[in-house]
Amino acid sequence: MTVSVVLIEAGLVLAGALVAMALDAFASRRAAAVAALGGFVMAATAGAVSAISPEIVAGGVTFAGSSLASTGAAIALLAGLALMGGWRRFTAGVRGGEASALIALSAAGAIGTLWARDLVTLLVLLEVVGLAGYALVALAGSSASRESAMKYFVQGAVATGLAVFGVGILYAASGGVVTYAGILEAVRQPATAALSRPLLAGSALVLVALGFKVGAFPMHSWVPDAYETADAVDAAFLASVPKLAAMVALAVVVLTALGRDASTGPRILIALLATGSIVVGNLGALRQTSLRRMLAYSGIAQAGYALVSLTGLDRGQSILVFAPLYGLAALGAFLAASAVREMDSAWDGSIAGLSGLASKRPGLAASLAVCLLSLLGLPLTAGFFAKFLVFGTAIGAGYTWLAIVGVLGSVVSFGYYGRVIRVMYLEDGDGDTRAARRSAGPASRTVVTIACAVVVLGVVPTFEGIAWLMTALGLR
Amino acid sequence: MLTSLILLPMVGGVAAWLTGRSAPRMARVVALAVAVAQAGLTALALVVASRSVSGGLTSGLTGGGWPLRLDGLAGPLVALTALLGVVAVLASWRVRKSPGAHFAMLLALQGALTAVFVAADLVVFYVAWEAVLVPMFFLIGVWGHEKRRHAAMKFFIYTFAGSALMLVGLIIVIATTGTTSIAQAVKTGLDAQTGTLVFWLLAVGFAVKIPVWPLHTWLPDAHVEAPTAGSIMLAGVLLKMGGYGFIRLALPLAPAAARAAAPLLATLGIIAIVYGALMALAQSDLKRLVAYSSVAHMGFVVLAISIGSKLALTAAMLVMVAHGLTSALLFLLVGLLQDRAHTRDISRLGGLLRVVPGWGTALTFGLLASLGLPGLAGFPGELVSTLEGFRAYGWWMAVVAIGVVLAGAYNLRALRRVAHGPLVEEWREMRDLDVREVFAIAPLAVGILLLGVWPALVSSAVAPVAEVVAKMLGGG
Repeated sequence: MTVSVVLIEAGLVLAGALVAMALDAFASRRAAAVAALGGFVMAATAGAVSAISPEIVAGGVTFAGSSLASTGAAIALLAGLALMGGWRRFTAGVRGGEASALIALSAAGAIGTLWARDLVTLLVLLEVVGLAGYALVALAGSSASRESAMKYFVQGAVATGLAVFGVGILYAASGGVVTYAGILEAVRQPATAALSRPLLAGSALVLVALGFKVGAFPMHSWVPDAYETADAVDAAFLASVPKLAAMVALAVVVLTALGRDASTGPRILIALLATGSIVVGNLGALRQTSLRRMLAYSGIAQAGYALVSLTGLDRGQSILVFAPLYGLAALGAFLAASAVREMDSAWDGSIAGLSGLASKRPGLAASLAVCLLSLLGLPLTAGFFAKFLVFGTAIGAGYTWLAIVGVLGSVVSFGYYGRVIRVMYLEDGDGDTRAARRSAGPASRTVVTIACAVVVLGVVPTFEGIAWLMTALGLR
Repeated sequence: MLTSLILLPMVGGVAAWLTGRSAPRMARVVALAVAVAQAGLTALALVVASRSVSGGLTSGLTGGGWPLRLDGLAGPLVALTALLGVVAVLASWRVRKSPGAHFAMLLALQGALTAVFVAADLVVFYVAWEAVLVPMFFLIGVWGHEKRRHAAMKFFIYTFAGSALMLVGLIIVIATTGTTSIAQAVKTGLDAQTGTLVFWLLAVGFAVKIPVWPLHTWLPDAHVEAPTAGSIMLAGVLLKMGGYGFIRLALPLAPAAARAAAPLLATLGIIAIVYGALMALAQSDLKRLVAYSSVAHMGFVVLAISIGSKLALTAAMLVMVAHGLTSALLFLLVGLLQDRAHTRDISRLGGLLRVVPGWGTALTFGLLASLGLPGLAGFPGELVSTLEGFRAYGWWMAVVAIGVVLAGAYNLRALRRVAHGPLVEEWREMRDLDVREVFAIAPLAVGILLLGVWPALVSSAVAPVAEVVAKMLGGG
């Protein structure tokens, strides 16, 4: 018997979620958070073990690791970091226990999507991730957050409807299969020419619906509201883990079912969705004054970069590098928002309100700057290699124009990432906030940890070769 | 050895920063020690490289393990970087705002610049290229003058836009040739169509840096707003990255496209020569005048590169080194003037030669070098560029002659207004150069004189490499 390590990871995280739920009801919020964290740690450990020895045979059962198992471990790791960054919120805040259980549930679903090998399973698991997400946004309790949770939910329902419709078409057109392999077979050799058009339509519907989960154009409008109104820590989680998982799930679907060796139809559609996301995300982010809203728009652009890599046929290596590294930097940037609030509860969430942060809290400011530069894709941060591989994939596939759109988008993105750095470093803040200075909380410490990881993952491959990064992410 | 050339300033920068935290006044001593040590190490590396058994500087000294190479093309620029590094530390000796961080940025910049010139690998080259941006951004933005924030953002966005397109070009090279080694990629070569695309993508990146008219608009702002040390490194070394990039990468990788682009490049170069001189003539701010003169001088580099013969490429390097020394000297002198008079307005100055004879003499020397007086550094390179231009483009060089006349006009006008003429009472008490300032000026002056009477110092090292590149271009 062979068991996929991805499934074990998902199971461990799910167990953590269930125990957390029970403990939240019968014990304390702290116990719930510890249980959820335990699930993440175990799943990450399982992933790390399988990355070191891909096949372990124990008691007649073969535990089969894969590059996706490493992605699963990355998801568990990021979820764990989010939990640690929001430790105060989860252990002492209102409905903290529910939040940690929801995060674990969402992460379990996210890892599960990597294991799915047919579209129906995938949709069900994505719905688990989505439902936990709607609830997390609503959990913040403000009327704004309830409104954006509703908006998120309604759009999610529409997307799910489209996806179900698309899967239905594919099911009918491919002669009754929904497994990736079966669909690939059907897409490659449609029984009759008349069938190829429904296959294309079904693929397009599924792609757009998955694009919603990634937060890509044209179903992106829920992103800024949800990420801005949710609790800062929950937003940090939502912006990194479910998004990362959706990027990878989308890649798996495209590369193993819809697009592989197939007509260029789905690929052109992906290129268009990518262009739309890059344009809308970058231009939208330029106008924002709120840090989290700006980061949310930048996340739309980042979803576009993830789509860029899907134009290639490299078996998804570039997205398996891009997605976790994006998740890491986004988590750091969003958690920094929470860390600033930790320090100064009067902060209004605006970028202008960060002025002089570099002199007040040099460690936090430097870490936020590192995360932003990584999102920008500057060398010596992890984001550089992520973007390098993504654009390399597109160019290798003949989509040079898309790579040029992408790099120009990156240039525009310095307009808003750079503005934060400018406000923090080049402008002197008002002196009196110095009095409100408090000791660094868990969010600050987590952000600094993340920034260190971003630098190490960016510096070492420069000198050790990119193979090192691939090994570090379990791709070799 | 080459590794330590990069690491020494980086590690030294960290040391200066750490020193600066506890003893701000000691940071500059540490920085000076590191910069002097770097200069010594550079000299040693150049001697070792030129004496190495396998063809001396032509084949170059390679770095142990890392893809680095110090050859005749990189050598003069590495030496220039090391020399200006010392000058920049001396020039910013009295910096008050967090000196530790200032010197750390300055040394990090030096390390990154050295890495650009010795990189033998496309990825390392790009990483180093972008690594230059961050310290320069902070040098301008934190320690600059009134409009520093705007200038820093503009500098970053312009050069980042150029280098982002350059990245696409480099990725195409890597994808087509299947190697990241510069030498291997050049050997493999590109087909005509890819070559043209790559050439233009790279050319945009290099042209922004040089800067080629009309992509130069970031330069006056950045130069004027940067602190003295920043201006010295910016004009002295950063602009050279563009010219170096052309000769190192763009011409050898895509010789056919380079030949096709020659008329356009030559036109842009000639426009820059005249336009820069005209703009310099119109300035009332002495620092802006020097900044625009850079546009004009770098125009000669572009012109020489477009010709592409062995002599012309050697001349391009000569102009670059000469301009590096001359502009550094002039920016240094303007900075010293600003420290004393708190103005750079030419109309408010006058007769300074009588009050501060040391400073006045140095200014006379610098402006004469800038106008291309025979016997000083500027002369040989610009003369050979023009002569080679005459061979290649005929009477179009008459336009360049206008530029040369204008160069005489703006330099002499500045000299007459500032150093001669009636003494302005306000400045009667101005103090002359102290020992530190003389030590900062002396190496530049010696270099200018040495290069003027003995250009073979640079040209003998460059010529073999220039010959190889010229042969690829089909010339002699």
